[in-house]
Amino acid sequence: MTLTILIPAFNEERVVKQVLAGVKKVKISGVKKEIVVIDDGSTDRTYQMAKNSKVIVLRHLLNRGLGGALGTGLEYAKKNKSEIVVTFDADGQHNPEDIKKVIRPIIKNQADFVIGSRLMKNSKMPLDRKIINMGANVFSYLLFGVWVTDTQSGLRALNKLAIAKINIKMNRMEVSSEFLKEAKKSHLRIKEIPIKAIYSKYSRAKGQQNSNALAVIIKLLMYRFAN
Amino acid sequence: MLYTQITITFFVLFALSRVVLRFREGKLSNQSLLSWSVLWTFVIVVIWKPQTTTHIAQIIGIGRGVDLIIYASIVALFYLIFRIYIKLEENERNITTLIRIIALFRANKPKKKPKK
Repeated sequence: MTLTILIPAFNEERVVKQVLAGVKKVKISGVKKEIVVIDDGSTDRTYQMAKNSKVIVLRHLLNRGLGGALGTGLEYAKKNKSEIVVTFDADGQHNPEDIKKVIRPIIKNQADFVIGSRLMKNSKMPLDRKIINMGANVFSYLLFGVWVTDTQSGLRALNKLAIAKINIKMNRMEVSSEFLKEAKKSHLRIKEIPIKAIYSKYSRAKGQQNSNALAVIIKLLMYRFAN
Repeated sequence: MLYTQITITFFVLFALSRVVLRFREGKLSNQSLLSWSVLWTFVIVVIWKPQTTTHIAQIIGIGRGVDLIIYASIVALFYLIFRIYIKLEENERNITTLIRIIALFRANKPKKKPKK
């Protein structure tokens, strides 16, 4: 079984090496793993550092946003006939061992699309993020009719069917809700698995900004009515 | 007033000529030619016979003709902004597609160690 771990990265020179080292260490029996970093037009040394870590690196010449980077990664996985895809944030907020947790329901054929939820168990997520996340969950539910506890989680797993069916069009942070919309459209089995996020000053600064929430809402509304 | 009416009429005629020109170049569909022609002809009618708007406004139930023009303009502007937004999004997606193709074409894979 082939597993492709997609790591979108934009200006992550401070942590990318460490994150890649952690992901490389994860051993899953019966699974052939490949790591793909999508350097989203970084202006620092992210590309060089990823390359030095001996992983596959896809480089965007211009910054296209999280959605653009994940779309490129998924396209790569489709071309290479990957059987499982995991998306993993490059800012160091995920525990690499959680990759095993999110792919388990896929291997057992219990789900087509798995979200690693940071909010299912007692979460250490800062309060402002919790509120924004809850708003995003409600908004995604109202627009696309799918209820999950953590729409904005960057740790996801997709099986072969989900890789083929999910078609990413949005360029920026709205992509998290688009994953759900696409999964619902193709009647994929969605499952959430509790994970623990690591909140550092760095990951907080690098993650979604609260001030982006309004822009994301407007984009999603436009997207909903234009499509 | 007459000078203003004449100036605006010249502007509208110029706009109409551009519409016809673009249609002849094949850049405008029959439907677009018709809608733009109707719109600009309506502007000429309103310039020379402003009371027309009041008649139409009364038929629709909006009191004054000038109110009708303001309401219609707001709706038209919203629609245009929406169209521009969609076009911008389309361009953004096209740029992403190009960037993606280049990234996949130039994928950097680690070199395998030669077998001994």
